[in-house]
Formats: sequence, C-alpha cells, structure tokens
Amino acid sequence: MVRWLKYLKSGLELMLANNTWHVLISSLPLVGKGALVTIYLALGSMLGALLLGLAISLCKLSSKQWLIKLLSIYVSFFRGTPLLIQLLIIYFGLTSFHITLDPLTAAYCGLILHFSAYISETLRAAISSVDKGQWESAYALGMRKTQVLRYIILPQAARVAVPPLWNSFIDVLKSTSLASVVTVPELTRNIEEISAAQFVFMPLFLELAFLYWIMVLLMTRVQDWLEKKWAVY
Amino acid sequence: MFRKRSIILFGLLMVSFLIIAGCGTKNSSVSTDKEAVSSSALNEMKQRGTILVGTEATYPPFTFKDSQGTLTGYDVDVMNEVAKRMGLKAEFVPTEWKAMFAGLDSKRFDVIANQVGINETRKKTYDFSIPYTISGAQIVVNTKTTGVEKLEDLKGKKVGTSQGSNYDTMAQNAGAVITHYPGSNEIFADLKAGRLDAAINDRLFVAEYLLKQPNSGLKAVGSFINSSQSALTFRKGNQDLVDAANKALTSMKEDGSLAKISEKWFGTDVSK
Repeated sequence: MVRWLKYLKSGLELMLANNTWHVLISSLPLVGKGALVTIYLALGSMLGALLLGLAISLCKLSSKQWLIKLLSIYVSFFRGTPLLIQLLIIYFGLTSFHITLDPLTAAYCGLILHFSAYISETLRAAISSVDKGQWESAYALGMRKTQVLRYIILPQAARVAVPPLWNSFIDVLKSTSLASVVTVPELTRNIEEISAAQFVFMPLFLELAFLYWIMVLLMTRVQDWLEKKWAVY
Repeated sequence: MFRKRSIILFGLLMVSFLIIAGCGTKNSSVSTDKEAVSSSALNEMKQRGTILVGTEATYPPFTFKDSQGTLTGYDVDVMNEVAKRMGLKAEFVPTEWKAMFAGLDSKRFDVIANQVGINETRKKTYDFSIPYTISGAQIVVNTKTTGVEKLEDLKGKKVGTSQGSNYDTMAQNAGAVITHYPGSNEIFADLKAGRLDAAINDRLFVAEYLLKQPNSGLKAVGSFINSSQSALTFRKGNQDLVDAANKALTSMKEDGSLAKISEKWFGTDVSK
C-alpha cells in the first residue's frame, strides 16, 4: 500500500516537473481566449443542431415518402462519416466551388450538420415514445396536426428527450476540439500551441482535460435543473 | 409514383456526392492550370496589400507563439522580411501540418513558410523559392539506448514520425516500423517513455529541444544525414510570385539580413 502511494507520488512529480506552474499560470490568458471560442462554438452548434434536428424529425412525420427517404439519406450520411472528414470537405473542398467559408463558419456548419443527424433520431424516438392514444384523443377534440404536436406531443416528448439530448450536447462540446484542424483558434489548438512553444505537455494536457470536464459538469447542472423542472411524479 | 421519384432522387443525391468528392481533387489542378494563363496572383496580392502565409505555429524555433501569444520564429521572421521587400504585409494563417498542403491547394493562403523540404515529388506539384534553410536529419534516441548511430540501424526499430513528412519517408526506406503522430512533441514524449526506439527530426529542432529541455532524457546520435533544403512553397503557375520572393531572398542573402535572422535563432548561419 505504502509502496503504491510512493509510485503515485513520484509519477505525479514526474508529470508536473519543475517550472510547470509558471507555464500553467502564464498560459491562462490564451487559454481563456480559447475557452471562449470553444463555448461560443459549442453553444451555437448545440442550438443550431437542436433546431435542425427538430425540423428533420418533424418532417419525418410527414406522409411524403420522398421527403422521408431524402432525410434518411441525410441522416445516414452525416451520421455515417467522421466529423473530421466533414470539416475538411467543408473547409478545404468547397473552395473548388468558390464557396470560401471562414474557419468559424465552416466549424459551425460541420458541427450543426453532423449533430443534427444524431439529434433528429433522438427526437424522432422521443416523439414516437408518446402513446398513440394521446394523438387519437387530441384529434378527437378537433385539434389539427400542428396543434397536437405543439400542445400535446412535443411537451411530453421533450421530457423523454432530455437525457439523450444532453449526451449529444456533451459530445458537441468535446467535438469542438476538432475545429482546430480548420484553423479555428479554440481551446485545444491554443493549448497545443503553448505546449509546443514551452515544451511542457502533460500538465497542459491535464489542464485541458480538466477544463472540458468543468464545462461538462456545468452542462450537467443545467440538465438536472431541467429534469427537475419537467418532472411529473 | 412517389416510389419511382424517390428512387430517382436517391440516385441523383448519390451522383452529386460522387461529383463533389471527385471535384475536390480534380478542380484544384484544373484551376491552377487556368491561373498559369491569367497569372494575376501577385497583382491580386499587391492590390490587397497582404500575402497570406500558411504556418504551423507549433514548431519552435521556426514557427511558434511566444508567451504573449505572438507568432514568432525563424520562418516567421524570414517571411516577414521577404513580404516587406515585396511591398506586402505577411498575414499568417496557423494551420495544422496535415491540412497544410490542402490549405495551399484550396487558396486558403498563398505560400507555406514552415520548413518545407524540397524534394522531387513535391516539385511536381508545387513551386519552390530558393532555399532559406539548409539542414539535415538527426536521429534522436532515449539516453539509455545504445547501438543506434546511423539510418541503417533503424531497420526493424520502432520509429515515430509525422505522416507525410520527409523523415517519414526516410524512416520507411530504412525499414523501420513506423508509428504516426500529430506532432514532434508527442513523438519525443513517447521516446522518453520508451514506447519508441528512435525518432528522426530536423537537426536544428533537435538542438533547440535538447538545449531547452536538459531533463528530456533524450540524446542526438550520429552525424546528420542527407543535407536537405527548405524553401517557401507556392502553388504551381505563379512564376511572377516565385520570382519576386526569390528577388527578396537574394537581396537578404547579399546584405546579410538573412544571416542576421538566422544568428538570432540558432547562433549560426543556417541559410548556407
């Protein structure tokens, strides 16, 4: 037992070698700037992906077979290819068509397109989890389809959707680190730049992991609050 | 009726994806050919007043950010001076190495200043200025390692490289077992941890690293191999741009300002 503690101590000492505290502190302004970009990018992408995902899942309720087919292909493509490749195609590939998006816009596009595919499936499942009887009784009251959705189905579906939605949202937050490949100066990229210049790695990587964790913890608090607010029992 | 239409739509969608994927590579070569005819890249830059420069910003002492977050380094200083003598302002676009040539191809920037080594394969696709760095490959091993001195010793050894780099090809030709890493830092960390037997990197970068990290647990072995030349890299078909950059570099060599920049970063003139 004591021996293991000694190993742990010497390991930590190695990882946090000599002048690392100085580097960690002097890195803070650049880290803060990167964290802001990450937060903006994550929140914007979450909102965009939620709206687009909702639109897709609602369109899938339509009776038009071609529309459903088309959206299935969309979902299958964006869920079936790596986000990294999608970002590279959007940022570098589209310039061949004279569509030159700036780095942040390209990152937003990639994240929103990618995660809307996941979220649309989550929401589709949530909507179909609402009992069929709810539809029937709402129709019986003389409501139109949009009214049934707006007042009866979506509020119930939203409650079911929160936990899987937050799974996707957390994934969005962490996936913003991929935006570094299309030259967005976000958190991961900034920390990589600092570690390359200062030759200090593990402490900065740990700081990076810790920062993402904090952000995810804050998001979980929002989830808890929402779940409590919408709880029925 | 709907069924038939949906099949057609599906087909069209698949075809358009294929076209997009195909054009991504094809169009770039077509458009560079067109450029050779109109050849207005330099004029365009002069109107804009800036030249866009692709650089890693994670490769000290060539291109990196100092503690204030300002981009600096040998390549950055050289590029700034070249741009100044061309009557332009250098605007840097920090880009990861794996996206560097994609960025140049897709006109995200006009030139790469990132210690790009001149080789025959690259010459087929890109134009190079006259070299501003002459260096060589240096083998690095853990201080505990013995018996690795030259390139031939790497046969069957675990060697870490960055995908697509000159050192990658060099290690592959030597018969090494290759592992690809995103950057030099990860390679050196694994070398120290003993998960790799050796690494190959620029001799200047290695010298700088060992100087800054006395406790790195690594050492440079043997003399440096295959002296290599690095130069500014341009898309093909912009001869006027390459000429203008060469003129600037030549005048910098003649009046000693290139040597001065080199002294600042390496304590020696690496441009010859």
